[in-house]
Amino acid sequence: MVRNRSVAWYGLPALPPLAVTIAIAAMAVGEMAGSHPLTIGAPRNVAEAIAMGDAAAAARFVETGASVSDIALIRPGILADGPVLATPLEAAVIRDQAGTVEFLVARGATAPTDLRCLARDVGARSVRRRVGAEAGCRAGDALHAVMARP
Amino acid sequence: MTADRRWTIASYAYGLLVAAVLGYFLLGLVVQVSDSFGNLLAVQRPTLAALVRDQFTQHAYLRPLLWGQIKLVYELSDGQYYVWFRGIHVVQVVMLIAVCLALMRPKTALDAALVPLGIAILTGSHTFAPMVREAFPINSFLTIAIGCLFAAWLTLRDRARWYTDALMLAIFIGCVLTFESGILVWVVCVAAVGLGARGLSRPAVAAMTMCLVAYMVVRMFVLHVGSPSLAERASGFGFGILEPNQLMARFEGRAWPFYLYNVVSSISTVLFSEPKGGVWLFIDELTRASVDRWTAVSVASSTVSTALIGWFVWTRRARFLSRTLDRDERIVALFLIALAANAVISFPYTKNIIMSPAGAFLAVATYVASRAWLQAAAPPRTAFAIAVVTMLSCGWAFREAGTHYNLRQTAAEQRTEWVAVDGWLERQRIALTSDDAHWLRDQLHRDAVWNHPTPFQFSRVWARWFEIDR
Repeated sequence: MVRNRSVAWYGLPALPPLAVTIAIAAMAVGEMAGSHPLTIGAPRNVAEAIAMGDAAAAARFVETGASVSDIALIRPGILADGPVLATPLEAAVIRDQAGTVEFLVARGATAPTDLRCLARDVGARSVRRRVGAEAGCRAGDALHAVMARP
Repeated sequence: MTADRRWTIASYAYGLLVAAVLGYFLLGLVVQVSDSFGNLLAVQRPTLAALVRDQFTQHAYLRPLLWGQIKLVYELSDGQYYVWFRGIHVVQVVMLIAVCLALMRPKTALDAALVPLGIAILTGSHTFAPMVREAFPINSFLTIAIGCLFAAWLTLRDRARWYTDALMLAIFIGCVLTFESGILVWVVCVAAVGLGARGLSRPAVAAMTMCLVAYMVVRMFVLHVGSPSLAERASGFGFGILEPNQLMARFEGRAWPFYLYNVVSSISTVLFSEPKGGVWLFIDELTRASVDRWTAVSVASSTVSTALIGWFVWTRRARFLSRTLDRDERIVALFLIALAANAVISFPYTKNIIMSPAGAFLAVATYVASRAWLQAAAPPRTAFAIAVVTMLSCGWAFREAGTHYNLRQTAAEQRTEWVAVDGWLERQRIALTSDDAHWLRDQLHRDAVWNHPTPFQFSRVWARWFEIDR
């Protein structure tokens, strides 16, 4: 009995990978059953889809008639710890998705902030390469304008 | 059912679970734009024969079977590209895990207890991640890793048979004509036989060697296929990435220091997870006193694995020197030889994925060394020995979770590329000139955006733990 108990300790190294695999498997089964454990779930609007890095969902929203310029709510934990109100273009710049910026601009998207200033504020290198250098904006103002939106 | 059989079945059942979970995440990816869409466009028009023939006139690469495979699957898929190409990727991963388990040969309860660690090393390694995050659209690195592990398993069997010899010869030829790294299959076979393994006959090794010589002669003196030049691609060096023009400015005419750097970096990345892609990230973070969690766990887990393998070799040094090796010792020796050979053939440029065969061997070698470490631990050292392996297991389990996290992120990134595919075509100066090309783009775009929506993304909270690409 004592010996068996000590032998069981040799099973300890198996536990961490087992736990990870079972947790991920449970997550996969949960998803197949229609829930979304550990994840944010489906995006609710164009801006949120982009903020989640899901440009394909954003494209589907747009193709089915959603506005490419409206300010929308991005839930907490996606772009920031709290909720954020942003346009699709602003979300694309904050996530540094140059391709998505192109996609939105090609469909007539506009944003109330200067995207070049916002790209500089968030260090969006890919977007900066595409939209060009900013001129005459104070550091942090563009990002603050988005984050402090009521 | 005997106890031995129960533990073997339990181990394979666990492998199947890991493969199923990974397969689920792999099916969240789509045929990507970069490296895949262009390749599919390239195989559309030419016949299979013409495509393979054209590969013999390339300057830096000789990969006729890779293009042959892409063409074949493209034609067989009959427009169902997602199902076929993603399905093949899943099958490849299942095969890799299966052959890894076959090489581990779990029979006892202790073996079975260490199998999760071994598989976590296989799937959590930074050399494995790009094998599942990318496809071209068939991941040739996975093909080579499977070929190398299979070669080790086959040659480490008790005796050779004519049909296993023939199979191994066919696999070697297939691998080497798919990808240059296929030479490693020959290295593994020759090394294993040299170390006393009996699963491959000497005539078979001689035949493989003759094939290799013929390949080298034809490649170098008939087809004049060289190696990639410095101007071919950007490469990690020191604490950053050097663009081709910077590489040319620094190393043109005296490239050997750069090549040496690549070889050393390639060995080090497998043993210590540092550098990654030639960039010494951990050292850089250390000097800035801001070591990322992911980097720290990667370096620590790889270093402990290496330490265990080092302990294994040191305690059996007399047997290694006299070359009277058992199966476990041969596996560890094969890892070291494959590591060196893999690094040497990676001299033109260093990338994590290139070292994937050595990374796969690291999993098996660590499994073997951990088992020996636990078996050798007598009281009162037993608790310490178990604690070391459990800590190691924690580190690799964390990395295994990171692979899944990053697969989800990749799924979203790939679809973002498809949303802006026209801009990509413009930047690559690719003009879609035929109806077939337009149809291919539309079908792949439909697959990525409409038919197979992006899987749910993890909350940003997890990024603090698993963000690999920063």
